[in-house]
Amino acid sequence: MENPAFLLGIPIVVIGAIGVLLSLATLLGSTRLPAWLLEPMAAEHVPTRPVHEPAALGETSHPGPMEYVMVAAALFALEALELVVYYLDFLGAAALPIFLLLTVIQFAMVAMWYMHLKFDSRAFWQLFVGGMILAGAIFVVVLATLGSSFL
Amino acid sequence: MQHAQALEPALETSTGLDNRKLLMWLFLASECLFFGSLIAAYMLYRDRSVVGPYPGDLFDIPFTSVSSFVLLMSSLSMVLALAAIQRGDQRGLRIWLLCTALLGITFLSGQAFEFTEFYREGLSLDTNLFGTTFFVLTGFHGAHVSVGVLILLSLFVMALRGRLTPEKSLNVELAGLYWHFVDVAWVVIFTVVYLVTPT
Amino acid sequence: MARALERRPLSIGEALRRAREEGATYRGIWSWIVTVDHKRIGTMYGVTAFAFFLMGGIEALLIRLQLATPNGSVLDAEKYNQVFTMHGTTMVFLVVMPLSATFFNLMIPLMIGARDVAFPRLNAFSYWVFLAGGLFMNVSFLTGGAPDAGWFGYANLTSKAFSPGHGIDYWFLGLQILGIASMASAFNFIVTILNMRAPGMSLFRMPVFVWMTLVTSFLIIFAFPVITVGLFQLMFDRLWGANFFNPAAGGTPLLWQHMFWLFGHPEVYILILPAMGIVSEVLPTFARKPLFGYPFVVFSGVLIGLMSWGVWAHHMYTTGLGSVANSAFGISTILIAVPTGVKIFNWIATLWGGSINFKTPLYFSVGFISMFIVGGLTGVMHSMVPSDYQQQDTYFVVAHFHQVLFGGAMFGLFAGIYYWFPLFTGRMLKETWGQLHFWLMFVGFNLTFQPMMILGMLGMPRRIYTYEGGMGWDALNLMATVGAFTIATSILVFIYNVVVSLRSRERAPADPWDGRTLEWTLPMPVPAYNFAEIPTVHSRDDLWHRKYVEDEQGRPVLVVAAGGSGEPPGHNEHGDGGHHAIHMPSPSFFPLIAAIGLPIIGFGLIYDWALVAVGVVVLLVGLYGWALEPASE
Repeated sequence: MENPAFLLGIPIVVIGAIGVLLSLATLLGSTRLPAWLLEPMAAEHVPTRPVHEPAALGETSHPGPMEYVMVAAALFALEALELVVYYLDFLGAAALPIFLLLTVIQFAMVAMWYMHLKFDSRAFWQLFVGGMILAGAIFVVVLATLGSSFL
Repeated sequence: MQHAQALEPALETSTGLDNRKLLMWLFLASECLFFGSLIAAYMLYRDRSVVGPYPGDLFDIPFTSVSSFVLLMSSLSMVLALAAIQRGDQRGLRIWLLCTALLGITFLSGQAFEFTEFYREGLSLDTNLFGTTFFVLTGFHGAHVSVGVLILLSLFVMALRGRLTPEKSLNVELAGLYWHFVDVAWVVIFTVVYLVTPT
Repeated sequence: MARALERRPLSIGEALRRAREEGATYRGIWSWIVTVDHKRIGTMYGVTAFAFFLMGGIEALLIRLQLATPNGSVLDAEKYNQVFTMHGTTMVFLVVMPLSATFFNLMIPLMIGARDVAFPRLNAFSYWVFLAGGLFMNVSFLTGGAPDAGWFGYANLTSKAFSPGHGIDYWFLGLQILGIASMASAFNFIVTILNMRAPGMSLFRMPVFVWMTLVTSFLIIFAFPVITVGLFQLMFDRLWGANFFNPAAGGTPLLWQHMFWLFGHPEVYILILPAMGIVSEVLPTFARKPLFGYPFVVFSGVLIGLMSWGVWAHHMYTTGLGSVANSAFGISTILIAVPTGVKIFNWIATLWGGSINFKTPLYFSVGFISMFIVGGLTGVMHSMVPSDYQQQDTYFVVAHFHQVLFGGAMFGLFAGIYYWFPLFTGRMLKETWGQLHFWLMFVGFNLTFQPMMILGMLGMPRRIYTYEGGMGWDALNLMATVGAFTIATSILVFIYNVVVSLRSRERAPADPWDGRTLEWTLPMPVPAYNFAEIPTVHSRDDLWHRKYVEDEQGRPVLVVAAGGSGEPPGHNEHGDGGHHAIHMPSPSFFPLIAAIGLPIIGFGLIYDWALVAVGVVVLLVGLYGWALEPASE
């Protein structure tokens, strides 16, 4: 059992076993897969929908210039905080997770307010975050495989 | 009834999402893979340079921080430009578009200054791994900013000629999405390349 | 167009508007140059891809002639390397991907009930960039040598030190150009599929081909940026001495392999999913039964797309990644066979108990399934790490991927050609010639590649330009060459069939295959505006349910429409007369102009910076013209 990759196999086998049992159960007729799984997008009539117009003058849900300036002030502060952390030598290796956290917060604020993701259709953030997760996952594997010191 | 999209108000779509906005978000999602690859290469080779100069020898964090602030503020001016066109404020639109473009140019000048400084200190593309990965990563980012500046200046000219009416606000919105993406990419690059570096 | 350039005091906007209005009356070849009609673009993709198919095929025949006998003298080592590199690059990027794009273009709007794609000019741009990239890459044969480091271009062979000529430069620049074409196309189809479906067409009522196009397009937009970066890294290494893959500076050539295969593995699913989609359309029609397990076929396609991101390093088992990485990727690769298996069982179940119509599209589809099973199983053999240590870099791998890419993708694409040919030409391809094509191709294919399975097991390495006699390889190689020429003969049969059928006076009957999906409601050839009236969709296989109801035994019974003509509803006889009220996107020449800028930049990067500037200017002129063109009226 020297090869730790076996550990990877265990959850996969477990998931596979559950899947097999589920399919057998459905086959034997005692269980029906829920409709939302088989037909998540089904609708009797899917009309086309008018495109959601950008928020017009006067709508309060849409952030105004003041909110944007406040976001900018927050970004400014976060950036300054990053600099402070950079110069605090005593933090050592603990600085890394703090940097990552501050970066993520800055990223999220720009994305949610400036890029309007907080107020728009969830399809947009799902696409964007999906791309990021994919990029993150594959490159973590690449860096690990090539023995990067970062990981 | 489907039209060419060109510069028209939005039509009915199956998802309720505008075609061009969906396109821009798909593009930005794919750009995550693009910048992710470049950042990963930098991270992989981070401390493997066989010869100097090394990051700690060259980085001027205060200088680059100012550059980063400039870019962050340009995101503010960008979103203010969008707010302006949406409420019909043509003057505000022009001011903020120009402001964003100028801040972008300032950022690029800062990058150019930094590149030439590093070059004078002995770092170029072929010197070592740091030079290679640094210049390619930040160079491509700078190229993206440049394209953004070009787009912003084009929009500014259109605004000057009175062609950017509130119905055309999607154009500014799309330019804004691109610009903010380029900004957050820099936030990540600044942290990963400049701040998280063995000194 | 000449009139738009007359010296009159017109503003740019007015000049463009006038050009667009005149564009509506473009004729002849000029109308093809400025077209934004998805059907014409699809046709151009198909013809161009087929031309490259012949080119790649000739390259294959040259390879087989050289290897037919030991110590062959048809090609020397250098030429051989160029030929097999271009054969692979051509077949992957200039044939299979564009043939898939042909079907995306021709079929997606029709299948979802739309009049065109979301971005018609972007669509035209994709085609012209593809053509530019393909020509650019092949120009290398005339300028000192084609690329010769394999279609996978492993570092450091591709470095300036080991590949000093310009061949590799043409390779990576050509691929960058082609990448732009593929990405533009993929963005277009995702937006089209998500946003332009006819009323009532929910995602789970879409034909499987549309689903596979959607998954393929997502794979493209996420995989191509990675290879773009890899190719840039190669470019910087070669042109400006960067150190991405330079071990002396601390770099590693393995980085290239990761970048390439991170792209390369999703790429092979990009190559196969559209063909799987085609087969999923053909089988139900020719079995006169609905696709068995539609949700499972769709889910497995999505799952294949997702899982394809987790298996790339199975191309790198022998590079010393270590047992943890090898084991992890081995497991993930074994698992990815599962959704494919699900599809195969569903296809077989579709045929089971059906009322089979034995026509050419069905033959090619069944050929696809059988050949893909063999190819897929050999893939599972490769997924086993210790087994792969024997098989890597032998002809067993060559046999495997030809089995799935030719026996799979190409057979599926031919099925699509025979199936949808009447829709766009108004004529059927001749059935007897079609069957002759199939059998010659099937026999020829197996005669070519099954011996390679054995050759691989006997230890014959890949990428060698010759071999010594007396090692037990001679007869098998000769057999493979005979097989290759048999395939070539079958292609001649196909070309003959196309020519004869196009010139035939016999028009195809309406709905010739008794189809199930929306495209068969249209007159043949499909008019420019596709649907006179956008249909409302009430179910999956909407056309079928309009034509038939089921009797007590579940057999389809023809519905006689009120008015009693028995013709498929929606089929209308009038030609162009009814389309005056339908606004179609206006043609434009700016996509072509923008596209031309790209190879000029490419040439500039190889030869002279001035050309880069010229190319950038041309590109910008094209893009600005495109952006500023007034909306069609």
